[in-house]
Amino acid sequence: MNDTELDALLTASRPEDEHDPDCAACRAALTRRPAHPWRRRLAVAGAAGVTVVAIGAGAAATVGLPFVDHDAPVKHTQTVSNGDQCQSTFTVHAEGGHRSDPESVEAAKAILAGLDLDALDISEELASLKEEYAHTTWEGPGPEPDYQYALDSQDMLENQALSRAVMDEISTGLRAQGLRPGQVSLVTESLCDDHEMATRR
Amino acid sequence: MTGADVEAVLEANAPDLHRYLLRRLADHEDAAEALNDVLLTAWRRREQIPADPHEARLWLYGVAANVQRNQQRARTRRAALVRRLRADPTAQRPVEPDAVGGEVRDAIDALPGELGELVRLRHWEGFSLAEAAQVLGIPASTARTRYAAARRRLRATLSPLGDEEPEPDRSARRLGVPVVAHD
Repeated sequence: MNDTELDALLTASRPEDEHDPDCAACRAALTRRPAHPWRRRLAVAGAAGVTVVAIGAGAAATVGLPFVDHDAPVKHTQTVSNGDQCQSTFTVHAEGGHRSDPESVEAAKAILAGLDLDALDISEELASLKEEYAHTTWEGPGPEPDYQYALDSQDMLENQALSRAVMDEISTGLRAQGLRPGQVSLVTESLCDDHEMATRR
Repeated sequence: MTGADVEAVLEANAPDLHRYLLRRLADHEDAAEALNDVLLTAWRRREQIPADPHEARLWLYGVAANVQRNQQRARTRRAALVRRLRADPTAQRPVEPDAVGGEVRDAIDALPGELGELVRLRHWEGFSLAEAAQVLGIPASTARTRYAAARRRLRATLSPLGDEEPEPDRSARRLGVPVVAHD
């Protein structure tokens, strides 16, 4: 393979750009900044209480429904130990597509609606999360950047711990009813006061 | 740089930055979130944005490179967690429409360190090696050495692709007009 052929292969490997002349994501990002604080989206999936974390502003939806029924998202304000507040919205979703179990999903929504989120003990989840982040290593590519977003900030940890605690409550409740926690996921979308980047070095 | 200048620089570069992130993150939501992070970072560090538009563009790509690296780290961690949940670990992979392009991208992804990103910046974003070096925050001489190493590895990996016999032009046969003998 000569240089020209290699160049052609490499250039042709560039993924196709989607036709998006308006760049809706650009508009959203440009209008969101800088007035709105950094938003975080946490999703806690079912089964073993596994936490899926994404950070950013993409999906911080607000739904203005009062939670008079089980389908409504549950909104909660969490005051974390440093005094910051996180506004969170918890929503139960079905996992498994067409094979999802509606009974488990409905039961999970009912459990969520009945939880006293202020009374949940998050200490065990918090310790577990700290342990996880303590053993996080840079996996590249490239050198470790000189800063990172505050993945391990206190509000992040405590907010994520609350999400996990909620999912644990739902999982425990479902199992007690003979239902399947793996059929549901809990999406937590949070907006926290602390939105500054953490400096690594 | 005034606030209006910063706004203008960000608006001018946002679509390209979004495409840059989409090409690397392959997920619309992740790319949108990453773009938001890039713009937030740029706004917070606006006093560091170079006044020259081209330099500002490279500076923004440097921020984007760091943001997408962070995203990929989070995605790696997330993927490891999701794999515990899902029976089909390939369920979340984007559909790969072209096999050869996919093989080349896999080969680029498999390059160690910054070699892959150097190749992407050069061949996908159209940057010179000096510009790519600036984006990655490394000396141009280092970029040249690493790029040469990347090409050597890619040539070794991809040579079977480039050496394949071309497919016969079946479409020409299908569409060919029967030869008619003329008197």
